[in-house]
Amino acid sequence: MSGDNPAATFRLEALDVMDEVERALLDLGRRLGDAQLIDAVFRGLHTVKGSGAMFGFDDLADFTHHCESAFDKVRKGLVPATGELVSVILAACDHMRGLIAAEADVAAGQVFLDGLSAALAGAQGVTPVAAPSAGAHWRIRYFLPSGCLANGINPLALLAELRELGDCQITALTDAIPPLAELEPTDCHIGWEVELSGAITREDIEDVFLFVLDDMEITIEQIASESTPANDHLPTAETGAIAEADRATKNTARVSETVRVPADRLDDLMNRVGELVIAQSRLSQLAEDMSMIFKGCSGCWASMASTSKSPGHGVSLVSLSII
Amino acid sequence: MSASILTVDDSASVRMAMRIALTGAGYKVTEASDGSEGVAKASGTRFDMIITDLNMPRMDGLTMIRELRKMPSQSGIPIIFVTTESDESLKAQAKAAGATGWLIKPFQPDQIIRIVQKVLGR
Repeated sequence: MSGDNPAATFRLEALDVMDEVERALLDLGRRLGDAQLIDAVFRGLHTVKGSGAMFGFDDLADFTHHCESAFDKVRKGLVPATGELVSVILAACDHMRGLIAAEADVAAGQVFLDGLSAALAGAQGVTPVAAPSAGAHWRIRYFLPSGCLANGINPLALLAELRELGDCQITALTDAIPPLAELEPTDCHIGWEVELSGAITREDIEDVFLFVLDDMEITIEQIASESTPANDHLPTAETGAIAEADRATKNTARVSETVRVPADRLDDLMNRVGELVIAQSRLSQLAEDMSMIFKGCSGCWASMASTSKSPGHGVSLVSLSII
Repeated sequence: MSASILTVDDSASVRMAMRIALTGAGYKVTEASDGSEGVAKASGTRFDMIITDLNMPRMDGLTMIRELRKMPSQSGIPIIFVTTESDESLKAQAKAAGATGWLIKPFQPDQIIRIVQKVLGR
């Protein structure tokens, strides 16, 4: 085995992956439309490229990237899987093996890449990347999904990330907090309205909520920027489930709906919610333990009752005063 | 105090890469090679975070997440699963099972540290 040497361990695993890629390519040569085989080849190349980069096999990662990209196009239906493409990648597998073993001539890879280019048809579109708008001003309003605290989402970490993006003013939305008796401790009943200013894109904000974005209620509005008059509010696209009606009533109802609190007080509140969650967990554990004890007692009691009813023990239970 | 992290992956090289990255950033790391071992190790202590692969022998990551979420002691612990970009359906299943978030494989050391800091808030 390779001991504590990540590169040596990677070599062993990468060669296994290459075996799988070659097997899939050979099968694909006979069944060119097989989506599972196409996906298997892509995943194998993806793994070799990514792990290679992770362990310092940069030449391998660079070369494999071209093959992986080609198969990504196939996978996405932009390019058909052809016998020629499969043959070129199969031949390239030998070069990749050489790069894994650090024995291949890196320059020799160009021959395979030329062949790959020749085999590829179609072009790939380029997705424009949104540039940060300087001085953008955003209003974000959100409620975290049900059960988020039990699933390890940390509301304070989200707020801290938002603060790191730029000037940040946070308002807690506390109207949805139920009476204590009805409070579900694994839900976060507090919502937030956050006003953010700075060179911030919508993607920056969505990235903060990466793990919960699809499950939560959130609106993200760009309300003003340096290039836009401050009173010219321009609500843009919305993400999440808060409806237009909510947005329409928000401006008129905000004063009665929200309470502004200092950030440190908010942190304290969240700590208390966290303690409630822990306390509930402890109580659940205690309840489980007590249940086990009661079951044990019940078993003993049944056993004692059974024993006392037997003829032999019946004698021994006669009061001594009678004797 | 440094956070303690349980990493669960059947690939020795991935475990090693995670260990090197996480210990280098000051985290304490415990390793398990499949879901069963992960459940056993998590049952004995309360880690600050668990990072797990999904495809593993004996007990896969999804089953492990479900088992852990059944335990009151594991409520609220962030569980990050490692996946490839093409695993959208697995991503949905893992979230439904109680996972907190995900890490796209392959990953660079700085990416795993960024995710850990994002989830732990430190």
